[in-house]
Amino acid sequence: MQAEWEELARRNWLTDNDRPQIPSNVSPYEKGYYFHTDNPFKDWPNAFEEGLRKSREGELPNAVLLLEAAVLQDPQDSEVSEWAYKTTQRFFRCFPVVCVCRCLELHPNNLQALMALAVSLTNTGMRQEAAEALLSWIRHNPKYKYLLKSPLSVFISSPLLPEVKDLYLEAAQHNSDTIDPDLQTGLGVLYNLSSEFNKAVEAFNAALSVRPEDYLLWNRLGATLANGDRSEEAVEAYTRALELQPGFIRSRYNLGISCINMGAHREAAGHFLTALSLQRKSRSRQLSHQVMSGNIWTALRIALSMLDQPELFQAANIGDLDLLMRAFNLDM
Amino acid sequence: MGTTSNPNVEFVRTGYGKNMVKVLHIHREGIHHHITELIADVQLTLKTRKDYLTGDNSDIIPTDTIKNTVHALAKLKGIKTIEGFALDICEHFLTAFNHVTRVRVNIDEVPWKRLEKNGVEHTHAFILCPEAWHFCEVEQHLSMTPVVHSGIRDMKVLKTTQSGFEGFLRDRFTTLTDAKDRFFCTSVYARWRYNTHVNVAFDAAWKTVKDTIIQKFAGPYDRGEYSPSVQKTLYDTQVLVLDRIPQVEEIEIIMPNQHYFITDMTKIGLSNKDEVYLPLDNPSGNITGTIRRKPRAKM
Repeated sequence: MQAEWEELARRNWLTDNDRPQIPSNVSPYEKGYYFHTDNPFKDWPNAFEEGLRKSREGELPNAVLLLEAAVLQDPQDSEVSEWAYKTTQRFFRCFPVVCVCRCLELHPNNLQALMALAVSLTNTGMRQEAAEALLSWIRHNPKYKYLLKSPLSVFISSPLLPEVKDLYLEAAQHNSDTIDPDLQTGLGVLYNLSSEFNKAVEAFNAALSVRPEDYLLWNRLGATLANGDRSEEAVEAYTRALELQPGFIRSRYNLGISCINMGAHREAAGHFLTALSLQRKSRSRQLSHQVMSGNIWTALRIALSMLDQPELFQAANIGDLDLLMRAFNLDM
Repeated sequence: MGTTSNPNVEFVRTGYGKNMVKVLHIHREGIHHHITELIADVQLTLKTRKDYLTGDNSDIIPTDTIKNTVHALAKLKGIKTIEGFALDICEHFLTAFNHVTRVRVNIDEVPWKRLEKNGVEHTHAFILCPEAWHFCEVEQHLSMTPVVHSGIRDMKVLKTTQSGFEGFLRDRFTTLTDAKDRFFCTSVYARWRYNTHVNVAFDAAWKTVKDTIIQKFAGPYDRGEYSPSVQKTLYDTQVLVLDRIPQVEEIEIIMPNQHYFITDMTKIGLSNKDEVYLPLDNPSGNITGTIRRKPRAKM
């Protein structure tokens, strides 16, 4: 389920920097939103109601498909397009994020999903959207929502990040007798967004003191260390994550990235190949895995380009995993 | 007719297809018409090489069929963006057959611009506006994710000041003098790669790149922005693009330096106070650079 949330966050929709006024007869089609091409629900009756129901139930991937189907079935439908227009106006960035937020408005207990969304948005450089997601996490969190004085005012444009950070710090100060690992995770993500990596490391370490067996946290700590140029410590954190969860592809990928940063290109390639091999074994057809796979192949090509072995680079271009595994003496 | 393969040679690569398939797609929303016109090159690589080796054509999908397929896909899938259409073409050839191993589709979009006056858009009339060409190159290997490149070409811009070039290396062949104030004219070529093919707003991204190039070139409209070299302006543009569009992974920009020279008119008894210049087509400087995002760890 987490992978689905993160996949939703990867999809996004750029707006022009100067965000012109959108006239009400402009459909998502014109805005260039890229609808799924093979939508199994494209002829589904009552797609709109069904989509809203699924988003209430938290079944986001299908909800998005149903809502897309509803828009496509009848782009002139006033109820559907009014809803789509209003919610995109309000959240103005991302149709799936819109669905997530709408779902969470109706079904606010899914805080875990919201945090996963924030992490994913941070990873893909969607800083504004990540800050919005983190703000939503506070807003829907029964423990902290009292901190928000006027909930709607903060939806107005720009520098959201400092305000959200202050909010999380306030929350931590008010509850300084216990450590809330999820709050600390949010803080860690915020410090990543503002490139204050050492502070982010402190936050994740605090979270880990409460949940030392959480492999996701170890990976987040590692990624923060890596992005803050502390590669050796990052490797230690990833190793710990992989001890706890050997099949954790993301950490394996991150380990490869750190190897590249430390100039160990052959070792990096080995890690990427292991990750790809694990993915292949899981035979996952999930879109999120396909996208991650693309990232791993890209990183592998970078590592291989440094090894001065053009036949290996060529094998990576055509996706010949078997040849590469053999070349690196890895079990298949 | 068949011949056995020559023992002294081996294949490096093969590919065949149809170039310059032109098609226009129209989407009518009531009286409001949207058009996309494009020129496509489609190339396939097949699993076997028996067509090259023995003259056995049984595996070949004729290039005429490839052309028909492009037309048919325009009808069946529609064309919203050239990148999306290129992806559709790749998907078709890789899934409709089991012996196609690679598809490459290069598309140029014909720059039709909707007529507009005083903020009012025409419902169905357009004018060709070739101030910049939008092209894309999509390549997909069987069972790999497609790789999408988009680009801008032939966007010619000129500024008459706020450009200089000094402090360069001098050797015994150098005659160039320092310039603090010169013209800067270039025809921009930019090509970038996306890190995903799913749900990218391709047209919006293209416009953002175009606007970013112009912004960095021209600077603020009341005073411009000094360019100490084409290299610096090029790099600054690339960094800004990567900053603005998270899905762009890598970008290449080529900026020729098209020179304008002050002509000496003293021989005809005139004193040219830097008012009359001669545009010189060749030779032209050519400045290139490619940057990519450093791979980042994922939380």
